[in-house]
Parts: sequence; structure tokens; C-alpha cells
Amino acid sequence: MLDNFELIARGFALACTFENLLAVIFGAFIGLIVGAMPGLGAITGVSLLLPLTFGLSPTTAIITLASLYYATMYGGAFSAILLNIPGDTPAVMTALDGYKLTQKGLPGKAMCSSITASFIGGTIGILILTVAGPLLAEVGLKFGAPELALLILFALTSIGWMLGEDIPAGILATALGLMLATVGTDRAQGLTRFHFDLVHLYAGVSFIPLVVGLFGFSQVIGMFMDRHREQAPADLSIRSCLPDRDDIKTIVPISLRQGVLGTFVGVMPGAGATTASFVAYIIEKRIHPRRQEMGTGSIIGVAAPEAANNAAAAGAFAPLLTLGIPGSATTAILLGGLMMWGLQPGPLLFRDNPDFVWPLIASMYFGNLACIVTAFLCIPLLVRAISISTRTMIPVITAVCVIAAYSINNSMFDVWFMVFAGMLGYGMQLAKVPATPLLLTFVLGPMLETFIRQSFDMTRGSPAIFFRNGICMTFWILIFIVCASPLVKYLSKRYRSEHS
Amino acid sequence: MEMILPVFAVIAGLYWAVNSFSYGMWVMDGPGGGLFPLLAGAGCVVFGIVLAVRQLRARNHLFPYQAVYPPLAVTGIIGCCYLVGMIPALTLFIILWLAGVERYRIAKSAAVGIVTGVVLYLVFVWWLYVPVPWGLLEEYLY
Repeated sequence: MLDNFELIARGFALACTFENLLAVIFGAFIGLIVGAMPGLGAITGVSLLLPLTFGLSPTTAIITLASLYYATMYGGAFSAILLNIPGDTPAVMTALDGYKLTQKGLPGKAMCSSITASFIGGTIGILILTVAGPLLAEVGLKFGAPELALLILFALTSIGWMLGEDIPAGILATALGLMLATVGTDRAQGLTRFHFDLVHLYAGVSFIPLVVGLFGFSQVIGMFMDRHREQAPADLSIRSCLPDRDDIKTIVPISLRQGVLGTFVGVMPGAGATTASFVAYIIEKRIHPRRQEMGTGSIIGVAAPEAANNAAAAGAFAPLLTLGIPGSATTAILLGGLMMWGLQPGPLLFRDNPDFVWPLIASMYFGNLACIVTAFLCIPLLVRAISISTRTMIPVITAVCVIAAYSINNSMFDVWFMVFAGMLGYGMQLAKVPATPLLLTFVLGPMLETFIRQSFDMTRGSPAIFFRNGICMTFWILIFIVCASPLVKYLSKRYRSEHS
Repeated sequence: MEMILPVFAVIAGLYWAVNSFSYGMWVMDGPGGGLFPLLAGAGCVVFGIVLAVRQLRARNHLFPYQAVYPPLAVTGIIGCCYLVGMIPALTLFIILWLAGVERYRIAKSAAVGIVTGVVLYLVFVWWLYVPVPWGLLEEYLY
């Protein structure tokens, strides 16, 4: 432990060079912009910046890319809160309550809550990485296909709390999400399904055009239909943006627990920041004393996913650095970068290249600080954008939706699909069917299918693998509690009413 | 309009459920490619019918035809992309929408359209190298 402190102190000293600090600030600034751009995300940002870092030393280069990576988690929330168009997939859950707060005239408060939670969550992730990085990576590796399948099953059984009061509508959205998720090549067996002979659907439905359409373009249609309605006046003063004491009391505990949870989810191979934000939202919806406020425009629904996705971004570095296993697509690109610079991530990296690993971890603290400062400075400017009339915003947001959908695969098919998703989203609004369960199953459905298939392949069809260890049993107990609790509640209510 | 979603869900669900059998339910000691589509399709059919019955009882079947304007506008943009390119098509769309639908002054519409077009060009084309279509302009540009 003492060695670790000495090494991190040396890391801080090395990270504090002018070149490295400049790299942190540059990465944070670009990450915020890329994250806020609808349709672009951490993968795009890291891929675009990677060739530009070839001229830098490996330490400075990875510091720039790492800073950009977790800054995109901050930036993704901006467009989710202000326009209801998540900048990146982990920000989908933030849009649920963030945009409702904007509609209530509190965009500044939503942004500040998001940034504060991101900072706390990110810091917790980095602290855990510093203290227990190698240990954490080993725990993450205990999650094989059956454990991950049960984790996702647990998330899906918890969907009941997201369905709202209208259960049939919620289940219909879940089924629609699963249906869209089955389009394209089945990841477990390589079968192509429901592609309608369209080559663009062979790889499945693209997530970003779906999200941009479902959240953004459907919003445009809704805004167009209600454009003559009076808008809630937005409070744009700086004082109104800053969280008050009650807000801080709400945000801090959520950020602390979701920061820890997010780090663990980030460590698991294949889970990532998106899963972390989904799970965090579901858990808060289950346990928070003011959970009924979630979904109606509450800072709880903004803080939980933001803390978790930032912590997951930091946690994803543990298996990357200590075992050479990327936990997500973005860390896979970073792994490629490390190899190009002649470094071999794995257990020996900490021993053989301490002057690379520890400055990187130290720079994360500076990066997190740079992100929060830059993000707070951006708030007055971004919040001003909300005061623009809805009638002006309609064509501008439409233009952003079109180019965002196009830019993912440089394909006009995605623009058509975005229009279809927008009409589906507006139809869902009219029929009062919630969109969140659709997105949740769209993201988690293919992962669940793959992990179940892999588990059965491991044992040639024996379901015993789903009970193989304590982790599996814990998830079964959690799933049982989640499924049984509505019945227990109903029976206890009935018992009380009969005996009163 | 409220009926469109349940009807769509029932039709699509039926298609998914029926076709799922061709992918197999249990293949080589594990769930086949048809199991999840069958679950999704069955869910859509059952709960689509529940919602459709509920909407029928509500007797609220006004069709807000204006809701098709934004999708139609995007269809127009896509058509224009092949003629004048994506960025000019989006700029033109903003100008025409603001002047035609929202009755803004031409100067204000043009200012909003051009500023948005320039910002989109700088971010997506100049900085991020997104190869947007340039339509017939391509011959003159390259």
C-alpha cells in the first residue's frame, strides 16, 4: 500500500509537467464538445484523436485520450438535458429527467446536478482505480457469461419500476425494443434475421439513429404540434443554476453509491458506461425515498446515471491496464494505441512501466478537475440557447438530427431510419407508451441473448452453469426478491385492509 | 393516430413470431436464433391487442395530420441532398421553413439558416471529416 502511495506521488509529479497538463485540458475540452454533439461519442472522439497523438510521448498521448474519454461522459449529458437528444449512449437515462427539468424552466439546475454528480462519480472511480485497480480487475474477471447474463436478467426484471402505472404499455415498449434488437446478425450464432434484404440491416439497427429519432425527432414533431403553446419561462440566472443545500444533500449520497456501483460495472468486460447508467437509474428508482419523483423531472434521475457512467469510464481502465483486457469498444481503441506505442498492457505493465501507468492515473484527477471547471464555465452559454424560441429551434434541431443520424455510418439509410424512429416515438407519446423500456431492452437484449448462448455452449446445454458460484446465487436471490416484492406488497396490503 | 402504434405492434409482432420458427428455438444444446424474436413478437401481439382495445373504447380517433409535416420536410431534405448536397440542403430547409411555415422575415430566416449551415459544416465536415453528400455540386468542387 505504501509503495502505491509513493508511486502515485511520483505519478503526480510526472503528470504535472506543462505538456501533460496541457494535454489534460485539451482532451477535456475536445471531449466535452464531442460528447455534446448528438451522434458522436467517446469512440468517435478517441478514434479521431488517436492519429493526432502519434507525435507525442506515450504518456502524454494516453493522458490526452483518457481525458477525452471521460470528458465525453460529461458532455453527453448537455444535449440530453437541453434538447432531449443524448449526445452519447450513456446519457440516454439522463435525458429522462434532465429534459423534464428543462421543460420546467430549470435547465441550469439540471446541468449543475449532472456535472456535480459526474465529478463525484468520476473521482470515486479514479480513487478505487488508484487503490484497488489490479484487485478490481481480478474481481471483474470472475464475471463470466453466466454471471453477466444474470446481471442483465436482474436489470430486466427490475424494468417493472420503469414501466409506470400502465403495465401493458410498458411491456409493449419492452417487446418492441426486443423486436428491434433481433434485427440483423445474431451475435450468438451468426444468423442474419429480419433484415428484409436490406444490406444496411445486416449489422442490426444502429443505436444512434434510433435514439436520435426516438428522443430527438419525435420531440421535434411534438414541439411542432405545440409550437403556439406558451413555454415555461426558463430561470437563467447563475444563482438559480447552482444547486442549493437540499440539492447537494440529494446529489452527494446518490453520487457516492452510484460511483461505487458504476466502477464495478465498468470493470466487467462487455458491460460499460451505458449499462452502468441504466443499472444506476433502475436501482435509484427502486431504493430512493423520493423515487416517485423520478421520471417527472428530478435531479435524482440526473445524478444517478451521470455518477455511474463517469465512474464506469474510470473503472474500465482497471482491466485494460492490469490485464490488457478492454472492457468496452473505446478502451479497445486505447489498447490498440498502447500497443502502437510499444507498451504491453497486462500484469507486468505496473511493474515495468510505472512512469507510464501512475502519471496516467494521476492525470485522471487533473482531468476530472479540468472537466468540471470547463463544464461549469459552459453552463451560462449553453443555458442561453434554451431561451431561443421553439419555432426557431424546430428546423435547427431537425437539421442536427439529420446530420447526426447520417454521420454514424455515412449512410442515408440511417436518416430514413431516424425518421421512422421519430414517428414511432411520436406514436408512442400519443398512445402514452414509455420509450425507456424500449431502449433498455434494445441495449441489453442482444447482450443477454449472447451471454445465455455462450453459457449453454460452455456446458453443452446444462442449465447448472447458472448456479455455479456465489455470484450467480446472489443474482438469483436478487431476481427473486425483485419479482416477489410486488406480490408480497399486494398480499400485505390486502391482509392489512382485511384486518383493519 | 393513437391506434397506429398498437396496430403496427400487432402486425410486426405477428411477422416476427411466425418467422422466428424458421431460425430454430433450441439449436445445438442452446437457445436458437428464433427464441428471442418469438418472445418479442408474442409480447407485441398480446399487448398491442390490449392497447388497441383500450384505444377503441376511448373513441378518440382524431388524426393530427400536421404531425406529418416534419417527416415530410426531412424527406424533402433527403431528396435535395442528392441535388445540392447535405449542408446546402439543410441550410435551405431552415430558411424555407422559418420563412414559409413560421412566417419569419427573410433576412432573419437567412441569418439563422446560414449560421447553422456554417456551424454544421465546420463541425462535421471540416473538423470531423464526415463525408457528407455534395450532390451535383461535387462536380464543381472536385
